[in-house]
Amino acid sequence: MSFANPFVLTTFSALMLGFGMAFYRLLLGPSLADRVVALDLITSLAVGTIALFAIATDTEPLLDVIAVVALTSFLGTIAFAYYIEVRKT
Amino acid sequence: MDIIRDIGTLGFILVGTLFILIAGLGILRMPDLFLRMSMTTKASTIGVGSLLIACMIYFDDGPSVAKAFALLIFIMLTSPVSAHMIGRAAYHDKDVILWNKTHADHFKEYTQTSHYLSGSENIDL
Repeated sequence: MSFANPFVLTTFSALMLGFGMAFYRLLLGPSLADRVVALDLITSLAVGTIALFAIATDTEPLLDVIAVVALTSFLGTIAFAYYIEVRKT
Repeated sequence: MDIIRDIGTLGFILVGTLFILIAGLGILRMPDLFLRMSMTTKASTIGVGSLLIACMIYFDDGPSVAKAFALLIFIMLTSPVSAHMIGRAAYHDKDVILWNKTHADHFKEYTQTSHYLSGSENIDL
């Protein structure tokens, strides 16, 4: 599997389309919670992109990067949720 | 055997990408924070899960499969928890308004005054 494969190129394009839609909601989002949800989706998409990139370039160590990104995303989302919950107005 | 491996990988990549695309469409087009959250959490969990399963099929040696499987379990465990935290916090947020066609709002009586997070008394944000 490589980048020359048109199927791999198409899937990368679809992921980039998802990134675009999530970034649009991040800019537009009427409330802070919308932006936090958009950030959560963006990190999920980053995890998916790294997994696809690991397959496309045949580099197995990128799975460790996925672990770090997933853990950071979870902690960041929990911290934001706590902030939304305890802030005054 | 190589052909079978490639077909399995491509199939799971296709499913994962489709679900991720659905998640993107959902966060763009849904009218309400909670509907958006239901789209993104479910779709992106399944999407990333299938991409990791594709990793498990593609790197077919023991350590890689174990690593990808551990990541799959981690994502399946943490994604609903973070969605629950955001939903719980956002329900009492004044900026978040429900969609005007919402049928059921079971927590109407559960007001801001009875909402209480233990340990948050001394925090001033």
